Amino acid sequence: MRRPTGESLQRLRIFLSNLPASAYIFIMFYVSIGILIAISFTVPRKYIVEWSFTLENYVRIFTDPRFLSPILNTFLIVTVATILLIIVGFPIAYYLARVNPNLGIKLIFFLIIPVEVNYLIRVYAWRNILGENGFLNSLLLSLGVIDKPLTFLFYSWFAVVIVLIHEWLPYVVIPFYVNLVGIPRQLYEAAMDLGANRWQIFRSITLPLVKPAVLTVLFIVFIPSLGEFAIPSLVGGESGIMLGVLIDRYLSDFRLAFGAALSFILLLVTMGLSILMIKIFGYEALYQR
Amino acid sequence: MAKSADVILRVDRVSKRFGETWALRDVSLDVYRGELLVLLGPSGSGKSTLLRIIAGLETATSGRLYMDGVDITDLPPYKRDTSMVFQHLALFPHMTVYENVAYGLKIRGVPKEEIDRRVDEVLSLVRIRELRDRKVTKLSGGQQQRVAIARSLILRPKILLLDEPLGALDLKLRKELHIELKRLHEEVGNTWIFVTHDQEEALTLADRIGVMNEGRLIQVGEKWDVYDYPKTRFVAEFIGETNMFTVSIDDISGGVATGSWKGFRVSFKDGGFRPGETIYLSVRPENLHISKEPPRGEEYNVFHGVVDVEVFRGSYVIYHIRLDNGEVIRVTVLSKDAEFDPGDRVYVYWRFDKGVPLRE
Amino acid sequence: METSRLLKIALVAYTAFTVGFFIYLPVAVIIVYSFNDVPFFIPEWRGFTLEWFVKAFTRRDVVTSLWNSLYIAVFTTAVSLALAIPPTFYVVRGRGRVKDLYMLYLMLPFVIPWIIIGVSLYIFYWYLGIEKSLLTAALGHIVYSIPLIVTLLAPRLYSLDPDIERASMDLGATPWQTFRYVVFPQVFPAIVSAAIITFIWSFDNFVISYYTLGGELTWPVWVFSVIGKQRNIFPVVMAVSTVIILVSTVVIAYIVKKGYVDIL
Ligand SMILES: Nc1ncnc2c1ncn2[C@@H]1O[C@H](COP(=O)(O)OP(=O)(O)OP(=O)(O)O)[C@@H](O)[C@H]1O
Ligand SMILES: [Mg+2]
Repeated sequence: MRRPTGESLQRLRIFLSNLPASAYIFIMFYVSIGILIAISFTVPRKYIVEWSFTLENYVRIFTDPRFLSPILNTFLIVTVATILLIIVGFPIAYYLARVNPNLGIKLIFFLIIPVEVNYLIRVYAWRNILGENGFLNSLLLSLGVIDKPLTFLFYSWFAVVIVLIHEWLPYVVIPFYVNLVGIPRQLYEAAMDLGANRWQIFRSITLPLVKPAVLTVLFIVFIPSLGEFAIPSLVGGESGIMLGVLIDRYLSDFRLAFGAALSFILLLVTMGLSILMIKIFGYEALYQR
Repeated sequence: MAKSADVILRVDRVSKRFGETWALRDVSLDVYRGELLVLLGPSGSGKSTLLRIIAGLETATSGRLYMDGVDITDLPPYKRDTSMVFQHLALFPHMTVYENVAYGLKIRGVPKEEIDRRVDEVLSLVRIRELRDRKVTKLSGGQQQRVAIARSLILRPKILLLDEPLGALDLKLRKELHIELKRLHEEVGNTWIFVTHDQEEALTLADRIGVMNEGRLIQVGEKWDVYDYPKTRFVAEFIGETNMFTVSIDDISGGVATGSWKGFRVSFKDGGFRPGETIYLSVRPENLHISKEPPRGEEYNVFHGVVDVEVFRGSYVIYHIRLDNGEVIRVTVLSKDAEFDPGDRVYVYWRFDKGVPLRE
Repeated sequence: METSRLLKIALVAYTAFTVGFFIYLPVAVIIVYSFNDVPFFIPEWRGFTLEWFVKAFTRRDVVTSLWNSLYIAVFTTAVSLALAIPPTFYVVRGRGRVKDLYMLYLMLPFVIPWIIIGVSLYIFYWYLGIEKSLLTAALGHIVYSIPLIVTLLAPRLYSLDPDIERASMDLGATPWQTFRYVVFPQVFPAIVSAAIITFIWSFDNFVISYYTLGGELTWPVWVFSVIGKQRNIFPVVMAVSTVIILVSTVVIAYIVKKGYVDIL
């Protein structure tokens, strides 16, 4: 028996099957973001929301350096970490893409294992390595290189960057690996045949063709890191403070309006960057991994 | 056209092994200046490997290469005066037509004005000048093809290597491009080595054909020589259609060998055979004739049979004839002479000297 | 050829150092010192013990938090798979502006930091007076995992031939039968790998859970709540981590070996 397969029936089916997810996202994401935005424009009060419109929170954020500097700091730290991640991660992916595929997959697997330990715990392990009573200091002390533990290693800008790199490195290597493996070998041969040497091939073929991986990294590393608060609050100290730490501070203190305003700023910035990247490069940038 | 004295490339006993498999076994070949040599062979016969060794993308396990008398065996690809058009084209997907074609010159640091001039020149030559600033990913198969050829031609290589460059295109487009390629080869005037597994393509394009099988170069020669005088059964069957008879020789006299094939007597030119030997006799369908009456004269092999199937092919017709010994052979007849119908009893015959006896 | 050898050696050395030393150093420290016979972390080795393993798995808060994580991860994975599969098809098959906007609508939670999802739900639950619990946390995870699954499945669906489905429908199969018998078997490996990635992500998520949990904690949140405050808790945390590494490595290796997934 043939069933009616009219256009409108088809549409209805698509609509109905998409309804649960769409409704879910609508309520749990868009409505709750809406409430957050609304609250960010109310008078700052502790424990309560007083529904009267004001820009007070935003005025304060944009005039007080105590807020501005962590915001700038956030961008600085995350930008530096992302650039370093690409610099550190690319050669690894490049190497893995050149060994035979079987070994490559095994090495990727090897790279994923450390990620199985929650990053908070790894952060803490780093503290035991770089911290005041950690490995490095006790080693240096016993060798007599220093006579007082080094403290700049931890609770600093530097520590946040190191830990971010450690946390995200596998997530950078894998998209680059997938991307590099996907470049047909014939392209390199053609370039070689046309007279290019190793370096010229790298510059003119490899680099332009890994742009999709760079985008992926921006999506899965750069943007999420802008909201990071556990790492800076565990190891960042004063110089490593980030926007996420501030948001958490105000929320824990139940000053919701102010926390909401800070969150909305973060949302606007990241959403703006994401939409810009999607507009320029298309959704395919999201699919690479 | 090609003078045998003017050898541009000499391949001297080249072999290539990949692990356990021998992709090439002891291949020797002279390529003449200005010719269009087609290497023909089934999949896996080693055509690409030979081409890649000539280009320098692969190193031979043994044997040497000489270009214009100079040993180039150990030169890297970018120091060889060859350029390759790849099986899957290998156009750079992130570049425009212009950037792809200009690539080789840019790498060599040629000044911008000269690059522009030469790109325009070569794009006109392959007739895609108007596509200059398109992304190559936005081109049709035939257009991409032209870009790939232009990208190599712009470097004015002594030898252009083409590895099944039309493999991905449909039949009609292939046929159009065959004519284009012929024209292009004549206009440019350099030496081309063209690889294909399509015998029709080979016969259309080639000056000379080299036939490969299982890593060996079995026969090289002018295309009609290879067609008319194949050296082995493989060559005879791979190029064109043929009827193959397995004949055991029992008599040789006056330069004519005679033997039997499934109850029929068959004669052919002696090639230094001995009685008792078994050979293969290849007879092309167009060298066979049919008639209702037996032919007059002594110089024919004559069989008797019934028309089984008639296949109309436009300008000619193929008849499948079931012989009295039960075997089926194929005969080609021009359409205007195709006066037979299935069921007709006919004589099939050919002149002794039209059969080509083969030892292997 | 000489430079290429050098380059290769340099690459190997670099990769070995970065992965072997930098990436594995903290993990190695965790594994080794989970057996050190000291009730807190010191760099010094004082002898082998299994005490922390025994302690870890007899402490109620530790065991409960692990179960809670497991519960949330399973719930999140199951629900978000069911929710996300139809939109993935539409996103892949659909055309035009409506589809593009819809895609953006679905993807937005995926392209902003987790903290925003966490904070907005925190306020949302509070504002509506919803009591926070394991369920509310799982509901928070699902906001992110729906678009996560869409991005994981979409590339695989792109490579599917829609004509096969048309053929199936043409042969009289209902859309559901077509999905069940024609499409599903082809996308099964991709679904398994999407499920695994979602599960791992959810099990390990700290930020969203942190803002959406009630009194019952998940493993990462429990770790965060004790780690800086109780000096003598770290050996226990290390012991649990060692077990997690062991179990997940074995499970993942098994699944990869069986060929159920195409992670890459
Ligand atoms: N890089 C390689 N590693 C291992 N074996 C190879 C390699 N390249 C080619 N071979 C083997 O060498 C033989 C010849 O291969 P080649 O590619 O030269 O064949 P071909 O004639 O070009 O075939 P086709 O028409 O399919 O392109 C084949 O058996 C092939 O499997
Ligand atoms: Mg080939």
